[in-house]
Amino acid sequence: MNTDRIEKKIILKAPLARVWRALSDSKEFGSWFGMKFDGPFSPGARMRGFIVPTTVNPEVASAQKKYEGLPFEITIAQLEPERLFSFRWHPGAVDPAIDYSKEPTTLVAFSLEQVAGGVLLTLTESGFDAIPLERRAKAFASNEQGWSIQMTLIEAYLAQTS
Amino acid sequence: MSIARLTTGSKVTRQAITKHLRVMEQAGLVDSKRHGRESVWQLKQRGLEDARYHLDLISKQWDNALGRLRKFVEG
Repeated sequence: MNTDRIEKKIILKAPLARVWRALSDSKEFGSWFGMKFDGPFSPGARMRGFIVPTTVNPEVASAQKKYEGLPFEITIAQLEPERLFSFRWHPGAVDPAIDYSKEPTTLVAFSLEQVAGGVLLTLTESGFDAIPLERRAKAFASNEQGWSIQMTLIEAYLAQTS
Repeated sequence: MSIARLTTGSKVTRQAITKHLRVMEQAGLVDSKRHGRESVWQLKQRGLEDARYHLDLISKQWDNALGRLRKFVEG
């Protein structure tokens, strides 16, 4: 198993220009992804964003709700119209208690290709091997701990109200 | 396992093995304990499993995000 990268392919039945706008316009990107950015994307730009619930899926929106307002930082790498959009970020940086700024980043790339029936979008996220396993395991463990704390709170709440 | 045992029957030198082990240690794949004059190394299975699990989680998050993108541009 490759532990360094994730790759996904999907065919979108929409015009190339439409897909490109959904990726390269920071407002549109934020709308489906569930983030709000402080300006437009441009190569080399260091963007600040924060999590806002997605407008596309109410179920996901409610899951994102608990992270609402959490700040994010991404650095735009490439913007090649209707072909490639990429940026660097800290994967899974959802613990407000951790300063991720000194850690290595992963590279997220969306590349587009016109094919019969639509646009082939290839997403890759690479560079996971540079992130210490110890750190990745810890992020996961703290997440799991967070969840069990939530469950305890819910149980306590239900016991009170029933 | 000790360095002596790891290098038995191998052409790799003790120095080379030690260097590799140190790198793996930093990555959280192995750890070592002093046993008298030599270090005993062991694999940290849990670190690997956690890392895989973590990657699976991120992979699923991307599946979801791309599903939302599809809805956004096709809808």
